[in-house]
Amino acid sequence: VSDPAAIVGFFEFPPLRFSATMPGTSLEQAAELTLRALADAGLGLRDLNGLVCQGLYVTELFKPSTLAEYLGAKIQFGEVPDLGGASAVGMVWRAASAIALGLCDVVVCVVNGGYPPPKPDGEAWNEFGASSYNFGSPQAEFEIPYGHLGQNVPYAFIAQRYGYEHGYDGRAMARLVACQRRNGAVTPHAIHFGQPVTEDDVLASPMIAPPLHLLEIVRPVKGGAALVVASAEAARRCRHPPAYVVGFGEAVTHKSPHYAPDMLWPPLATAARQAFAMAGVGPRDMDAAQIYDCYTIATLLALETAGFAPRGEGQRFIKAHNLGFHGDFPLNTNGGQLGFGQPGGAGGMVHLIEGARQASRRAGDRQVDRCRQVFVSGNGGIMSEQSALILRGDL
Amino acid sequence: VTPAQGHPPRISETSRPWWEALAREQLSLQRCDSCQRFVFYPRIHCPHCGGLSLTWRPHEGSGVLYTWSAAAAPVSPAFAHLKRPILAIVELAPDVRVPTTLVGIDEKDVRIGMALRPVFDHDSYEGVTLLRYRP
Repeated sequence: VSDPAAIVGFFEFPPLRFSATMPGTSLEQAAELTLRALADAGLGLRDLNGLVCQGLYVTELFKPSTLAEYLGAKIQFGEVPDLGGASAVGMVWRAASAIALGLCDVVVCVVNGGYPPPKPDGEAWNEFGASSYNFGSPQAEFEIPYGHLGQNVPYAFIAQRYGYEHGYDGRAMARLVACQRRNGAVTPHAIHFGQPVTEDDVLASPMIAPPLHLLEIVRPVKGGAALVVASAEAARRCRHPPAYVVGFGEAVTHKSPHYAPDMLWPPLATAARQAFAMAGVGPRDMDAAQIYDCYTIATLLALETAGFAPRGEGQRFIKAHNLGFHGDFPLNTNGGQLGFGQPGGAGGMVHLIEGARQASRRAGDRQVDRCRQVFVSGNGGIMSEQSALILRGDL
Repeated sequence: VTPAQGHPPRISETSRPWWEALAREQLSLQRCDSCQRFVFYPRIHCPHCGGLSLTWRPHEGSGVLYTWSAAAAPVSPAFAHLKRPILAIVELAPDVRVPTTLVGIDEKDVRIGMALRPVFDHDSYEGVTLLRYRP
């Protein structure tokens, strides 16, 4: 990528407990996130000419125009990615691509996290979650009738199969959680701020779906996040060092894990290979990794498919490295979602904003030394849609 | 009001032969006339080669456990009547992995790779037969 676009500013709502109510409507939240991210960059509403959004539960359709109208923005690029937890990375590369094509030069990517409000009849949101019970949906015909629903059991399917093929080391998975929770325990606003856990705590927590323990599973919170992607030229007018978007990739192969071409080699393998090739670097060149961690098994397979560890060696990799922000393999330096919380659809933003923070040397006490290049991954569905991004600071 | 128990399959025309076979306590799978590979779930085409000509073939029904887990908490309110169901994926043939549940087995005895036999469940939903598995 010549003269790449950069992440130049961001803003996150401090996560709230899942039982809390977010103030304001989702449209008001998205507008506030957008304006605060622009202000962080040193830009304003008049600079904005692209919007990539998600959430916005006030409407099913026409989300970019609804948000542009409310903000008072005149945009030349509007987009809504539909990639679950891979969306945040997907938003940034779509914004960078639109900028590279000359459509726009300042794009805000915004996800008002949290969840749709209850329906008027009091019914909570769709009990089918990420599955569809609509007529014609393969899930409605072959999965839902058997109770194949939700996230815990499908992720556990992959973890069990991993154990069968490579051996399952519960202590390595517990170490992964403990390392991330240690990072999260010193990250301001993290839902688990000041609450580290030990490996024994993880192994003693309730078994939710064998082999997954409660503490290996992300905690849903309410929140939201926005970031600003700007052209290299616009980035020079901004307040903070830019985090250039130098490589990216995306891969989608299936919806349900039953039909994964290779259950233990999810599509991040393709996405990461493409991102590294575009950036002209490899896994060993990364100074930090922000890896999507809704479940420990997702992080384990990302370490392998992205090339940080050989296939089947991820657990040994976790035990062989110090994963703290001052360690030899800084991983999820803000705690990841396991430490910070998963603000609904904004989960991927937790990794992306921390990646930009590290590459821009804005991470304060948890700044990784000499951090120049950061790997960021996204993961949607049941490891079915995945994305990778390489950020490079101007060191 | 009794809460709904489960959610019956929403059957499409394309896959009706699958469900009709199950009602007769048989299995039937699509196979591609071009590349000869099996296709599951039923489709209008072969996802392996793009071929548009598929033929239904009988399958004797046994399979191998590909992976499994158990739901300590209900996966949704409609399945709350099930006590810790063992959810599973069973491989019937190359390229054929079916969503199912295991019955007649204790969780501690479940092993990936174990041979499994079909159980034709006519009772969970009215007028439709589900394919479950047991050792």
